[in-house]
Amino acid sequence: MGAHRIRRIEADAAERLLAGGVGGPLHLAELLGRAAAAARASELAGEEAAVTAFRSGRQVPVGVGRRRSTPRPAWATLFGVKVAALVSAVAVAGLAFAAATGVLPNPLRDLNAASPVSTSPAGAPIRTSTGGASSSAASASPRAMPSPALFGLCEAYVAQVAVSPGKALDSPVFTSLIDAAGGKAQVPAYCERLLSSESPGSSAKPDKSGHPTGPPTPHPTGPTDGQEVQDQIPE
Amino acid sequence: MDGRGRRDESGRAAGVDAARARRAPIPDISPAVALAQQGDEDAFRAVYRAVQPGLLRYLRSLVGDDAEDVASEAWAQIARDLTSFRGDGDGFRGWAATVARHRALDHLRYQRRRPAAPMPVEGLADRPADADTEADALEALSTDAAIALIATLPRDQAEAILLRVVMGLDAETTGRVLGKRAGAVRTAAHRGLRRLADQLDQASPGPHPAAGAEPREVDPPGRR
Repeated sequence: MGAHRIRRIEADAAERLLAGGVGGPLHLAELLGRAAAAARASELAGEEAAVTAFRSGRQVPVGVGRRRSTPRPAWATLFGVKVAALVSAVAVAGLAFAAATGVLPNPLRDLNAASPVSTSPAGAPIRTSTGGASSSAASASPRAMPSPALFGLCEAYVAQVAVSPGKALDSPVFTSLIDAAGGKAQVPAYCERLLSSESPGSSAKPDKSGHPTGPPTPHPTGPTDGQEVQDQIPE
Repeated sequence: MDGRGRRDESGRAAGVDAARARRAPIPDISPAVALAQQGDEDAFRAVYRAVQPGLLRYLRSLVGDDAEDVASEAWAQIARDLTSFRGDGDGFRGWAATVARHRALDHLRYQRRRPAAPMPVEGLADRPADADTEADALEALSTDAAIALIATLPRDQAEAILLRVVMGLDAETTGRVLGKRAGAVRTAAHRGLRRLADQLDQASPGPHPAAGAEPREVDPPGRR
C-alpha cells in the first residue's frame, strides 16, 4: 500500500476515535475514554455560583434584556431592514406624498374637528388627543379611506420596528394608529395592508376589530411558514 | 449526533474489556438550552451539568489548576449573554467552549502561569508483572491523568483533541472555536493522536492490538 493510503486509513481511524468510536490502537481508545468518562460530583462544584449568575441575569427589567429575543413580525422582515431604513427617510416626506396624490388634510379635518393637528417627528400630521378622544372620533365617523395621517404613522411604525422592535408602539404618537387598527396586535397587519396599497387613498377599509374587508392578508402578525425571521445577534 | 456513542466491538482482542474505552454519551441539550433562555432555572442547571465537566477538563489543559476559576468566569459570561445566543445544543457547546477559551487565554496573558506539571509518561510503565496488556496499565489512570497526558501535546493538538473528545464538538465547530479550518483541526488532532499512541507504546512495551508496527521518533513530552 502507498503511504497516502496508509495515511488515509489512519485519518479515518482517527476520526472514528475522535467521534466516539473505538477505532485505532486500543490503548489510545482507552485513554480518550478515560478523558471523557462520566462526570464526577466534584466537577459540578461551581453550579450554585453559575445559577446565581443566571438568576441575576433574569432580573433585568422587561423590555431591556428581552428586546433581542423578541422575534420581528413577519411583515417587518418582508420589508427588510434596508427597506425599513428607506421608509424612515420616506416617512418624513409622508405629508408631501399625501399632498401629491391629492389626499390632503381635508378628510383629516373632518375626522378631527375637535382636535388640533400637530406634526410628529416622522413628519406625518397627527392628533395630539388622548386615546379616549381618538377612539371615539374613529368610531363616530366611518372612513371611506384611511387618512394620510395613518399612512404616515405606519411608515413611522415600520421604521421604529426596525430600530427597536419591542418598543415600537410605546410612543403616544401611535395612539391613533393603534385605535384605527383595533389594538396593538393588529397594527402590523393593518400597516402592511395600508402600505402595500398604491396610495393612501385606495385599499381596504378596516373595521374596528382589525379584520380586513378587502383583499385577504397573506401575512398574519408573527413569523409564518416560508418567512425567515432574521435575528442578527452576534455570538 | 452522528458518530457519538458508537461502540466498535473489535476491541475484544487479548481479553481487553471494550467497556473501558466507552465514553459518557453526549446528551442533546437543545431543549434545555431553549428553556434556560426563557428563564427556566432547572433547565439551566441541566445545561450546566451537561457541559461543565467537559469544559473543566478542556480548561485544565490550558490553565491547569486555575481551571475552576476560569470556568466560573466563563459561566458568568454565558449566563449574562444567554438570551443573545442562537443555536442548538451543539452550537451551545461550541459557544461555551469559545467563551471559556477566551477567558483562559486572557488568564494566561495576565497571569503568565504555566499549567500544572504533566503526568510523567514513565509512570505508565509501572504495572503489575501479571498484567496481560498495556490496557491494564491504564487501569490506574484517572480522568485527570488522561487529560494531563493529552495536555502534554503541543497546544493546538491538545485543543483539537479535547474539544472533540471531552466537549463533544465536531470538527467544524472545533475549527470555529479555534479560528481554524476544519481540515487544519483534523490534521492537528490526528498528529496529536499519533504522538499519544507513540508515548503509550513507549511506556508499555510489548504487542499492542491494532497498533502500528514500526517504532517512531517521539518528541519529548511537554514541548509546546
